[in-house]
Amino acid sequence: MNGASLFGRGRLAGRFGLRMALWLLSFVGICAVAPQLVVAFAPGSPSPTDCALRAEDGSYQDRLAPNANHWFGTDRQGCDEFSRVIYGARHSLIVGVGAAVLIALVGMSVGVAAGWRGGWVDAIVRRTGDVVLGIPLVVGMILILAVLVPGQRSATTTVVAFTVLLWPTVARISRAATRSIRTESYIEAARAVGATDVRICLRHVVPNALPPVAAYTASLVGLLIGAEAVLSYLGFAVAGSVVSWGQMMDDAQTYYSRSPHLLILPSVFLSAAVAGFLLLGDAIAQGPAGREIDAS
Amino acid sequence: MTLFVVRRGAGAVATFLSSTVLVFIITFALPGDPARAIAGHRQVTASTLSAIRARYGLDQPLWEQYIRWLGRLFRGDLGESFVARRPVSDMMQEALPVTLTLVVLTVVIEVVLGLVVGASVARRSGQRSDNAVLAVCTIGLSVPLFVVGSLTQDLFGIDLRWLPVAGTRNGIFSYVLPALTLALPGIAIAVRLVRAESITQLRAPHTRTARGKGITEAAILRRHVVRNGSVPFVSFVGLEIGALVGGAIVVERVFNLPGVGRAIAQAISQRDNATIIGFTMAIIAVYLLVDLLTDVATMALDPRIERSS
Repeated sequence: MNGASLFGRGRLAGRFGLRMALWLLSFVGICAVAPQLVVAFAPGSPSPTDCALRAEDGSYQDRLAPNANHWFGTDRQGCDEFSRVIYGARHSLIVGVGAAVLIALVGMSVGVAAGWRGGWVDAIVRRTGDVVLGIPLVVGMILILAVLVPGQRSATTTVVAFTVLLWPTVARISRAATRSIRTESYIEAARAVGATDVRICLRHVVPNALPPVAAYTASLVGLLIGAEAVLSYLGFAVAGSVVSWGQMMDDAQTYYSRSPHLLILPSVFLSAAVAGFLLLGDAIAQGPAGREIDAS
Repeated sequence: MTLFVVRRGAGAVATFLSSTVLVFIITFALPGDPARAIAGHRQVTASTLSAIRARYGLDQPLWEQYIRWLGRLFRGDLGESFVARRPVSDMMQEALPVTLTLVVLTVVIEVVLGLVVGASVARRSGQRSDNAVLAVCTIGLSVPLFVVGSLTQDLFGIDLRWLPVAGTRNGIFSYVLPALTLALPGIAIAVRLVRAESITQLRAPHTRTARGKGITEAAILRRHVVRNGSVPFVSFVGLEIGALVGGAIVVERVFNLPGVGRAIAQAISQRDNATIIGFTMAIIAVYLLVDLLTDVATMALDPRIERSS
């Protein structure tokens, strides 16, 4: 078992999965980088701060159903929901991609070091990883985020908290890869020509251990985007005026039976982003570089 | 085999002890003053606060508090909740059955649906049906649990009035919607796992040999496909039970179930240290125990695992 794919060992995907992933991720990516371009298509190119509780004729504008002027309706403050959903992509991607990349960097450094050195370094890394992974993610996140004063809660603190709790996943994968790479003949050859340990690790071990880590990291982004929304739902949303899908979905809970679109529309976009990353991870795990992952 | 179990068991105990230290430190780093939380909303003098600290041993150094807590833990005493003024073990006796019922029902749903659906899509393997399986499973994994929960609650509970939507008053029926919600991502993983394993095993050389020897298809399934394919499935179920405890927090909140997850979330917001530590350690203990049992079970199914470890 390698755990390189959050899906379990699927062996499905192929080109269909990769194509779906690229479509979904390009769209979410455009929303995150240039939301102005996307909202320009909507009537009046609204922005998340275009909020009006009452229109000029005095009619209430909050929690409107989707209509021609507001494609996704309005939220309880009368803000245009379409623009909020589009602008919300940025926060989710910053947290998801940021945390996954940091987890991959930390986990891989630790994992390669543990797999290469073996002995007590390896023992300490494995034991610490077991302890950290024993704490369920949601419980650990609540504990860490509750330590911080609510005003300090930001994308950065969320990213750091995710990294503290999840670095052992990547450490395990890269450690296992390193253990099997260590015995390859090209490592012996590199050593024979006098390469130092650091050079061998950076030039030979890391590039060869990368495919399983990349596959896991891509799926991890999806998992983290979902987890971030769950934390907002549990009352640990980012402080301040950041537009985020989790915050929007949390707000919508109260009005769900009368304004279901406020919950469903952000969820559809969030799920699309999560699905894109899961499919991408799956496609990497089954691509040419991933063949070896399954064999190990 | 015995040596393996003993070594793994000792490892699990060591991991448990290390995690007590970690959880203890995190909990005491939480903001706010537990003595004030104990005093409640009353206006209290500084001397009352110090009396409370002395009463609960909060004036001692952190490591002394830890040693005393650990000593009590071995006698089965988890301390007293500052907020509820009751022993934590009493609260756990109420919350644990709720969460265990939820998790067990969820795992049963995942295993049954995973096996049935996974095996039947494996028989119809082909490009178009493969893509459909991939698409449906991806959706199952991507939609957040609290959204699925709200939707099922509204549809089956409020519009159709088929099942209860909140609380635990209706016995096992109260758990049907929460368990179905919680099971969704696990079903998606289980279906893919069972499908992939069945296809691999049915095409494996030893299966072909068995067919060549004239063994009946039923015996091939029983002796080769199920036996070999069960190892990854058992480790999936083991990992899943651990992961479900985290998901239970969310589902318990949506369906208002008085379980472990809700108790922890509430204790953290009330800064109820003894309860946070007690419940978190209970979850970690369950997780480690399941992990240990999984390892022993997979080894019993596939003796090669012991030799390689």
